[in-house]
This record gives sequence, C-alpha cells and structure tokens, in this order.
Amino acid sequence: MNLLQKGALIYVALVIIFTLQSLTVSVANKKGKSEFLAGLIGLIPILGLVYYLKMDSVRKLSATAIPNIFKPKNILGTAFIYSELVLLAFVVVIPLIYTVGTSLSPTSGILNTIWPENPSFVNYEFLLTGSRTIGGIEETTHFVLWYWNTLQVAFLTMVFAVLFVTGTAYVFARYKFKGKKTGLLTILVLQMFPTFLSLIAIFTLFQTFGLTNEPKALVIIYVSGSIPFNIWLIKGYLQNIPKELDESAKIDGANKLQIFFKIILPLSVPIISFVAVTQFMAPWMDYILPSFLIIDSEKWTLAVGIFDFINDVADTNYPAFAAAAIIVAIPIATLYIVFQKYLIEGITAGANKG
Amino acid sequence: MEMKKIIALLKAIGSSLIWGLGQLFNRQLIKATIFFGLFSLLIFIEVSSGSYGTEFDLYDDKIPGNEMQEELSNYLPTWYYYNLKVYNPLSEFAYEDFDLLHDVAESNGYTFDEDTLVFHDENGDPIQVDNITYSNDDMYAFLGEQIRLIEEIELENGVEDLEIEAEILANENVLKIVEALIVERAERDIRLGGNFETLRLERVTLNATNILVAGGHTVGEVDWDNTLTTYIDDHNEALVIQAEDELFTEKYIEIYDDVYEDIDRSTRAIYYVGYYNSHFKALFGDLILQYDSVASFADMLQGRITQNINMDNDDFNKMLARIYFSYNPEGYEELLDQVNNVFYERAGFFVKGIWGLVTMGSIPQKTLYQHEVMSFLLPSSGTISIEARSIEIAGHHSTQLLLRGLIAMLVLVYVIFIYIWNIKDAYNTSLIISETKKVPKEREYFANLYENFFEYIVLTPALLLITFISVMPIFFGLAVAFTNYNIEHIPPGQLISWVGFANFKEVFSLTTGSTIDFGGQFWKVFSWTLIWATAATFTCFFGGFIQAVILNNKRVVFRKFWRSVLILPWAMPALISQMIFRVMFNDLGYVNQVLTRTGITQLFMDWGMLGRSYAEAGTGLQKLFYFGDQNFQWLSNEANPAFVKVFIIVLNVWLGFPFFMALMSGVMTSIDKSLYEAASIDGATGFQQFKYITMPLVLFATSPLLVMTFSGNFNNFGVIYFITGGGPGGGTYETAYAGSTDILISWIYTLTVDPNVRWYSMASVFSILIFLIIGTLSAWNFTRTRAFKEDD
Repeated sequence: MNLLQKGALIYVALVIIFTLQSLTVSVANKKGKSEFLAGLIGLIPILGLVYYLKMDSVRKLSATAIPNIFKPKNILGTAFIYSELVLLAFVVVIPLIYTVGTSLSPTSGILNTIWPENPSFVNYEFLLTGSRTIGGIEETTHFVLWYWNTLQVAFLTMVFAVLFVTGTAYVFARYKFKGKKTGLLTILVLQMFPTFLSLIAIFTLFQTFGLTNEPKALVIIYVSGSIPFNIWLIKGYLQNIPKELDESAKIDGANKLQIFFKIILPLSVPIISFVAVTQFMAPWMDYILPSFLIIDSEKWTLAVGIFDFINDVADTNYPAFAAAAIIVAIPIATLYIVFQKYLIEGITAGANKG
Repeated sequence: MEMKKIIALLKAIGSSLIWGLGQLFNRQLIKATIFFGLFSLLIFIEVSSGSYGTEFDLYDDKIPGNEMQEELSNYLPTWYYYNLKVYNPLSEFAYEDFDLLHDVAESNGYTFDEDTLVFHDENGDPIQVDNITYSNDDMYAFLGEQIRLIEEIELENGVEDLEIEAEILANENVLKIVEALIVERAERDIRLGGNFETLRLERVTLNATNILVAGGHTVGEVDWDNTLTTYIDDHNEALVIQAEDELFTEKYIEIYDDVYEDIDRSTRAIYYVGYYNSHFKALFGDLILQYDSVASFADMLQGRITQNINMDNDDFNKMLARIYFSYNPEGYEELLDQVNNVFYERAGFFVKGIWGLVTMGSIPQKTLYQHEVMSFLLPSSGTISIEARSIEIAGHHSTQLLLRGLIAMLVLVYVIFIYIWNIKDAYNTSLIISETKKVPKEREYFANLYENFFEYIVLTPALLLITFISVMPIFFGLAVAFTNYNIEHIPPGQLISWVGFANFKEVFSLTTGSTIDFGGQFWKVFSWTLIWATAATFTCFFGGFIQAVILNNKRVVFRKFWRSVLILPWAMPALISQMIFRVMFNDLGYVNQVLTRTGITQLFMDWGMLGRSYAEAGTGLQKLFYFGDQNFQWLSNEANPAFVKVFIIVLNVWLGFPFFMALMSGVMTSIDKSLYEAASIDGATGFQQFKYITMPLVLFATSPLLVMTFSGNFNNFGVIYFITGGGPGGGTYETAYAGSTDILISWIYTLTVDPNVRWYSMASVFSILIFLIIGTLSAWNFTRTRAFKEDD
C-alpha cells in the first residue's frame, strides 16, 4: 500500500467515524440524552450508534424523528461537512506535526517523512546548551541569549508601553482640551506610515547615540510605536465607563490624579492587561527592526535568530530551526488560544477604532 | 492707543528680546526667572554645542585619531636608530661601509666577516641575512640623471653656489629626493663618527658657542631658548629643534640651513612647521628608499610603531597626514580653505541644525590615499601600487545633518511655543496690572496652570517620545524621498542633495530610467501588490466565512474541539508558520518528496506540466500550467512566476482564514435565535435563512475589517519575505532589485536593508505612495465609524 492509498484510507475512515458520531448525537438528542456523552460513545464506530438506537427515549418521539436522521440527504450532508472538516484539519495540522517531527530529527537536513525514524531531543539540547559536535565539526548557537534578549525587550516594552499609554489614553478619553482632535488624528495618521519610512532615520539616530547593536534600545521604538493604536484602544474602553463616576468623585473633592488612580485605573484593569499581553508578545515576532538595527549574532532577538537557521546559505539547520520554532511558538500559541476572544475583539476594535 | 496698551506692548517687546524681561517689569519674579532661565538654557545649548570663537584646525577638527606627538617624538628617533637600523639587521638592508656592519654586529654581540659577507653569532655560527647589498654612491643611480646633475654642480661649485642649485631644485620631486638623499648620508656620516670622506656636501654643525657653521663659515648665531626648549635663529624664528638628541640636532641644522636657507624664505618656512613634521619627513625620506612600494613600507612602519606605541589606524593615518602636508603646504592651505565651513565647524545645535537641514552639507569627504602621501617620498621611478589604506578628511555628513536639522526643528517648534507664551504672558499680565493696580499672585497662576494644563502635563512624556521616535523619523523618511540618497551617494563618503520631485518623476515616467529601471518595475510590482492584497483579502474573508458556516452547522459535534484545531494557524506566530512553509515547499522539501513518492509528480510529468524546461514545454496550456522542471517549483519557478504568485495566495489562506472564521462564528452565535424561529415559521428553508439572515448580518458586522485586512495584506511583508524572499528571479540591478513576487513593502525592505542595494530615496518614495494609498483608504473607512463621529 503506498502513501497515497494509506492517506486516503485514514481520511475516509475518519470521515466515516465522525459522520457516525454526528448521527449518534442526533439520535441521542432526539431521545433527550446527554449530547456530550453521546459524542464520546458515538466515536465507537457503529456500536455507539446501535447502542443509542436501541436505547429508550426519555421524551416522546415522533414517528419520523429517527428515520429523518437517516434520510440519505441528511447522511450525505453530514458526511460532506465532515469530509471538509477532516480535510481542513489535515491541512492545518500536517505542517505543525511536520515541524515537531523535524525538531526531533537527529540529522540536520530536510526531513522527508512526517516523523523521523529515530526521534531524539538532540536539537533541543543543542539549542539550550549552545553547542554540539557533529562529525568533528563544532556548531554553536546563541539561542539562549536570543531568548534572554527577547524576554528583556518584551518585558521592558510591556512595562513602558503600559506606563506611557494609560495616562495618555485617560486624558484623551476624559478631558476636552485644545488640540485633542488634532492629536487624535495625528496619531491615527502616524500609524499609516510604513515602518520602513522611519527605518533609516532610526538607524542614523541610533548610530549617533551609539545604540545600534543594543537590543534594549529597540524598546524605545516599540513603545513609541505602540502608543497610537493603544491610545485608541484604551480610549474606546474608557469611554464605556460612565462619566458620572468621575463627576461624583469630583464633587467629593478628588482631583484629576485621584480620579485616575482611584476610579479609572481599577476599572480598566482588563484593557490594561490586554495591552500588556499584546505588547509583551509583539517583540517576539518582530523581524524588521532587529534585523536592521542589530548586527552581532549574540545580540539578536529570536525572530532574527530563528530565520537565520534557514536563511543562512552557508549554514542551514532545519531541525534546529524547527526546535526553536516550537519552543517559541508553544507559549505564544497558548496565550493566543487562551485569550482568543479578547484578542479577536481587540483587533476588531482596532478596525473600528473604539 | 491707550497708555496701558503701549506699556503692555513694550513689555511684550522686552520679553521677545530677552525672555522674562517683561515679566520682570511686571514684578513677577518667579515667571521672569523661569523664562529667563529657559532663555539662558537655549543660548547655553547653542554655545556649548558649538565651538564659537575657537580657531579651526584641520588636524583637530577634521582628521580622526590622536596626535600621539609626544609618544612618537620620544620614541621614534630611538627606534629608528637602535631598533630598525641596529637591532634588526636581519631585514632587508643596504649599507655602504663595512664599518657600519661591524658596528651593527658588535651591538648585537655578533661578528662580521668582510670577505664572505656573513654575520656570525657568539658561537661562531653563521647567521642568515636575507638580503645585504653593498651600496656605494651608485646605489642612488636610479634616482635619475637630474640628481647626478645636481651632485655634479655641487661638486664643481661647492655649497656656496646655491643659486644654481635652487633653479634646478624648482623641480619639486627632485627636491624631495635630494633631501632624502642628504639626510641618508648625514645619518651615516654621524654614525661613522665624523668620517666625511664620502660626503660631497659639507656639513654644517652647531658648535659649542651656538654658532651655526656651514661650509666652513659661520652662518649665524642661534640662541637656546629655555622656555621654548628650542634654538632661535637670527631672524628670531624658532628652529624647532629639540636638543635631546645631539645627532638629530646636527642633522636638522644641516637640512634647514645648508640646503634651503638661500632658496627663499617661504620655502624655508615650510620646513619650520615643527620639529614633529620635519622629524618624520627626514626619517621617512630615508626609510622609504629602502622599500620599493608604498604598501610594504606603510605596513612595515605601522607594524613597527604599533609594537611599541599603542597607536590605532586613525592615529597612524593622522601621522601620515602630517607628513603629507609637511611636504605639501599648498595642499594644506587649499584644503583648509575648502573644508573650513563656519556653520559646520563652529555653529551649535540650532544654527548648525537649520543650516544642515537646508543645505545637507556642502563639502564632500576628501580622501588622501597613502600612495599619494608616500609619492612625495618615493622616487618617481618607485612602484606606487596598492591603495592599501586611506586617510579620510571628513566632509559633511548629510544624513546626520538632516537628522540633527529635524531634531533642531522639532525642538524649535516647542521653543517657539514657549516663546509666544512668554510674550503673551508679559502683555496680558501688564494689562491686568494696569487695570487692577495689583500684581497678580504667581502662586495662583501656577495652581491654575496645573489645573488647566493637567492634560498637557500628562501628555508630555508620550508627546516627546512620539515626536522624536515616531514623527522625526517619518519626516526624515519623507525628506529622503526628495533627495538622491542612494548607493551612489552614501555619507560620509558623498554628499546628498535635494532633487525635488525627480524621484517621483522617475517612478511615474514609465520609461526606463537612464540608470536603473524604477519606472518600469514600479508598475509591475504595484499591480501585483494590488492583485495580491485584493485576492488575499477576499480569499481569507470568504474562506473564513464559509468555514464559519460549516463549523456552526448543527451537525458538527464537539464544535469547540474543531474550532480549536482550525484556529491553530492563527495562534501560531505567523512568522514561524511562514518560515515552516519556506522549508516545506522547498524544491527538495517535504511536500515534493511526498508528491514524488505518491506518484503525483509522475502524473504531472505525464501531463507535460513537469519534467522539462519551460522552453521545451509544448502547448500554451502546458506553458500556462508549467509547474517546474524536475519537481514542483512552488516558490522558485522562475520560468512561470504566475504559478508562484497563485500559490502564495493559496498558502496565505492557511494563514488568514482562521481569524475570520473565529470572528464570524462569534458573530453567528450572537445572532438572535428568534430571527431564525420566525423565519422557520414563515416557511423559510435553511438556505433561505442563511441567505437572508446569517449572510447579511455577518458580512455587515465584519465588513469594516475588510479595509483593515486589505491594508494589512498590502503591507504583508512576512508572507512574501519569509516564504519566497521576493523571488523567483529579481534581485538584480536590471529589475531594480525587485523579484517577481515582491510587493511594494518587501521591495522597500530590499532597497533599504540590503547593503548592496541601498536605494533609500526610492524606498522612501514607495513608502510615501503606500502611505497615500493606505492612508486615504483608512481615513475614508475611519470617518464612517462611530468613534469618530461621536468625538465631535
């Protein structure tokens, strides 16, 4: 049996299993049983379905209810939906499995099966210890340093972005002053300039102050760059906090600073956390700035370092790349999945601008 | 006009001249102090950042490196004699008297055999000496006929007849060589303990009574000046000779007075430029004769010096510059006139900044190559070969001037703001005083200020950060689009200048430019960017929509599980996924391996879409669907880039659909269920419900994101750069460095970041165009949003 047949077989089998599961759940549903349990039992091919068909109904069943489920149109519809879902799941998951596979591959070339024959953790060891010897040639990597650099940059960016943004957004959301509209429009316009326009100037500026090759200097740019978007974001959130709160506090004799610290700040913890999380994640995935501003390999951030594993013509190392990608991607992907609701809302809010 | 207004006006004028003056008259001491303090600070910044009032000095201001004059003058003479000549006899070496070799040998504890021309060490073993040549007067034969002529004249007439000599010496090169020759001889003479036989020139000595004697007669009296530690001649000019080394003292007096005294005073003055200069001139004039090329000499010299003195390249070059100009004083004056720009060299932060912004510098860098420097020392027949190193006389650094100019300008904006405030305050307070006959309390003013200006105070940090880190660079980028800042004009080597709209014209001209084809390539890249952004946006948008519909079908069990699987591409950092694709779709990557093993590759070969070169591919259809040669060239199909383009759009769906899927399924679950119930009661089919309820609601709620996604894809650097790198093809001068899948933003990246490309001006032009397109689009989209309208 060749690979194609094997793949097709697994695919068809999965589609059938999930279709049967869906039918089982439909039956259970009609009979008033727990859908979750039916979903689990329905995963047992045929037997699960038979089990539920034989089961007594909790509520009254119309005569056509069960036969309707088994109408060819319904079965085909279900099969069609699952053939699409399973196919797409394959497409989504295969690159990821392949990456995990590659990261476990002990040889340094391109892995040509989805999973290596003798998986090992040598690549992870290599990344974490920084060196290894293969065939008498010593290889080194600064992965741990990159991680540390990125972590520092991310942390500092998060702290300073929150510090700079919160107060500013508060003022924009709550007070009327001369130049407010101009200011808001200006930061909006600033966002629309491509990063590249300022790249040369930033490089020259950094050179003048001796900041090139210094990862922590990137924080200045990230923080400055984060201000416009986040001002709009926080401003939009703060506008939903009723103004009466401020006003009653004012009557009680609180000044603007007190209002901010005692009332607004505690209420805006969710949005500030959101800003903190997004700002913490941003430097991990920024390639353009560090690749342009940082020359020495031990000063790189992760994005630059990881890409170098596959872009360096003289010294490609696919498994090390894959291992590094996994190490970096897992925490970030987890954060994304955990915060997906907020993140998607945040992006949408960005599109609608408050 | 009323009196009080005139008074107020006068105070305002006072404040406009000297900040705080009006406030002083208003008896507002705190304000006056603050404004005057700021005013003083401004002046202090300007003065302290400039070098007003100091004299321009080429060596201090333009040539990098330390002088190390003291170290060199302490060390070099000793080194020259005892290190190079004596302790290192084993190097290439010319001699003219066996006595010298005996001396050399003795000082090393060796012996020298005249018959065999071999050194022996303490044990009598022979020592290999690389290249000893016996040299006598003939060793100078190569210097040419002219020198011989001079020498003959000198022989015939003696030193007195210097006028004839002067005529001949008008030939500069000869002059240099002769000088070197004389020094060489004088040195030997000294070393040999006063044996003058071989000299044709009579020596001039400084005798015990400070009388300068030349050619047997007294030239003049020189005095030892204790404070200057130099000799002074009868013209009261310093001879600039330090008497710490008697050998040198004698030598210099010879050079100065014997040969040049009667040529003319200006020429002679040149040689009084200083002990330092003359010193080296003499040393190198001699030394270099032993080396046949500038490079080897310079290497030797630097090597030797840096062994003993901590001297870096800049320091060494600075020394060479000194030597160069001591030989070429006209060149020095000329250069001084050229480079002495009062704004650049002396002005401070504000004045220099504004000047720099307007002119971007006016004086290019001047490079003195070592061979140029050394050619003054080398005989004309000597080899002048390698431009090994160069001495940079820094010119005006255009980009730094531009940057400083912009910073100064932005600071000035703030300054002007405070300045106007200062004037207004003087005027207004004056009016209040006249009206109320009372001086307002300043404490109240400041309390009031805090209350009203709380907002501004909070905004200040972010404002300053944005001004200098975001706005200033953007201004800089905008400015660059109107300059010729490209690889042909890179500071500090070259100047940049304003070119107006020339870059824009080049882009829009459509004709191939005279040098590099930006006009033609721009439209190619631009149209592909538009196609890409549109296709990528709609495929992901509708892909996500369809997927959301399928996912939300009631037949789907464990929806959360499926949703979590399908959202993975969104959760994965895009950069990582893009790099993974680059690996997987490599020509020899996993995907091609699988396709080969499953026989699919063979299938396509049978259909003629694979397996041969593009030229051999038969029909139009086969050309259209030409996928590659031996394998699918997913990302590198140079012959049929359209295939790669389509493929990138398809790949991008993987990256982009989950976001829309998640977003839209969120919208779908929030649709009021009663709508569907009502529809079902009215007899609407499932499809009708979908068509008239789900689709309009979801698409309406999410369509504002289309514009954002379009802008995002328009500038989707990652997909292009990490997956194809802009290829296939491109990256050459002919295509203006644009690859066939390059979109504007990735093209800009190449133009900016690639050290071999560096076409900054065009990168800026494209950035501006992107801004205009995306900015307009976003602005249009934004003005339609609730937030904007609410904020009036």
